[in-house]
Amino acid sequence: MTPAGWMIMISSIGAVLTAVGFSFYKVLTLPAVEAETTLKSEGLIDTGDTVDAD
Amino acid sequence: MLLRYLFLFHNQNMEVKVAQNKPVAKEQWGSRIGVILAVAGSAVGLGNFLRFPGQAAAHGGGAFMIPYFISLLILGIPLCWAEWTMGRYGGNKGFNSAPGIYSVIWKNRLSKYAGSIAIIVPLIVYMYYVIIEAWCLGYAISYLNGDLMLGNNPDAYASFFGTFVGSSENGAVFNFSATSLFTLTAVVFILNFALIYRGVSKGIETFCKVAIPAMVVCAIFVLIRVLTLGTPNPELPEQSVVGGLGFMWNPDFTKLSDPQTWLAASGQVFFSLSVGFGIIINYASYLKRKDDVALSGFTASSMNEFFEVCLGGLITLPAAFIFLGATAVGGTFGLGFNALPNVFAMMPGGQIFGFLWFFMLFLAAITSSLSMLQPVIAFLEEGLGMKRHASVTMLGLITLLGAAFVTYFSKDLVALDTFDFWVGTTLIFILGLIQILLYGWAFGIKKGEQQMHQGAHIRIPKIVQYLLKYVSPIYLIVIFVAFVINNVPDYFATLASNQAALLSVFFIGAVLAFIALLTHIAGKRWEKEGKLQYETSQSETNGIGVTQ
Repeated sequence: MTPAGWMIMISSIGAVLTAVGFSFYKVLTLPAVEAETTLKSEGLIDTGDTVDAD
Repeated sequence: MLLRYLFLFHNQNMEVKVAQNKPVAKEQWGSRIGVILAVAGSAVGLGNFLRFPGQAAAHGGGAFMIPYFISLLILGIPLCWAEWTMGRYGGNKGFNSAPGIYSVIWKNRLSKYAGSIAIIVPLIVYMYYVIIEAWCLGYAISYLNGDLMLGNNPDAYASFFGTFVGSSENGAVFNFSATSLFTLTAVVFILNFALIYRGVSKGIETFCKVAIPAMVVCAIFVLIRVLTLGTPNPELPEQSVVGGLGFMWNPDFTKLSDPQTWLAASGQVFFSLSVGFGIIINYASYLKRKDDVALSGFTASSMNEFFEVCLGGLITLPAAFIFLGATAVGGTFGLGFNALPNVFAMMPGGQIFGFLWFFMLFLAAITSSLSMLQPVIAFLEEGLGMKRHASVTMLGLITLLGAAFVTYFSKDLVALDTFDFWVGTTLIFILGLIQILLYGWAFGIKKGEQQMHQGAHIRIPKIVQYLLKYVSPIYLIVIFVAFVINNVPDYFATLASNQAALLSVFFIGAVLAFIALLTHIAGKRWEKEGKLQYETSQSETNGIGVTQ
């Protein structure tokens, strides 16, 4: 493996691992999502889980 | 007759809706990490582990990463953000399916028909993807029972694959033994529908929360095995771990002057991230108004890159090179289902690592196929007013017909290849282009930026908006034109000479017409419900407005 090959491999994998590490750190350290107030238009839609499938 | 039934069905459901007259809870994701894993799961598939390394090795090795990362930054991640933003916006206006979401964004009668492409793509791709999923399950089982430990004989693996997928003649896989492709396809088909029936949160999200970590664990076990192989054959010292990594990563910078390298890199990014599938826009529609899309979109994209670059780039080709040398590189299926089984047979502990590898591919495939069903379910439910039982049953019948078609026309995998080319590739380019134009020119980058940052946990640079409006569409058009010039003439020639290919195109056309009809009915229904209303006077002649 050539030095250029090592350099590209390490920098590519390093860049991706940095991006994944940063984004997951941010996601996992955020506070819990607040409860959502129901929107006016949402009341018409029924795409619910199978609590009432019939 | 069918038309009449559909109209009657739609009117009946409207009456039921009015009679009930009670708000119904909207389906939503259970957690922030759940939606990220679901989107990442939809993006991570066989292409990450099999297509990416093959493309890189064929187009300059490490040098391929330069156009790859440029495409990721200019095209891939911005388009992901645009889809997340438009999806959440449409969801908060009361729509979860692309025809409705497009109508909210582009207030024109035609928008819902453009949106119907985002139903057709996942629907048809599912019809053949479920079969590839069954291949992976079949290979995993064949490792467990030892059927795939065939020694160092490349022909034996090619023969196994040909027999298993029935590529010798049409209808060859229609036998009912426990491990036949027919039986496994049926099992996988039912598993998909059992999960999707449970809904977005209880079905997709719950499954992805287990499947994605399991995939990471399986892949890391295989990665450790590959990186500790050393030099298995002392007589061939160049076929070592370092040699394998060099085969994948050593750069050939002369390839950067070849337009095909740039085309391949941008195509890989585009397909890998699942942009233009109609899936992200549907998944994002289940987000709440103040849920973040910026960080979530970036996290899901990064995770896809982790599977592709860090795992796909270190496992597949290096392993194949160590045992088989430079001749190992083939097409996606050749590398995955012929070369790699040969590699596992020669590797110490190959039976268990072969199982882990194909089980991981199976999980990757199932998280993707699940995501293909949800956009159609959402459309049937909100467009035709169907309940979950009815929508799952109807979708089951349509996809069963398509999967049976692809299963039967197995000779040389012509039907699968035709579906993949015209829908899984060409139509995805078209849908991607529509979505990028929709964001940049109908939604508008000013509104887009404001929406993108609503509830955002990271700041997206302003330049991304200009990329989305001017650069990405041109970049995508150039790629698409090059793709058409390179590929379409050959496929037209195939249509003239191969009856199965021609029948496949007719089948695709029939599905297109059927979904267009359903979209028309859905549009009428939404107008009658008041979700879509015609604007008065001057704008009445131009298009429709959407009740806010």
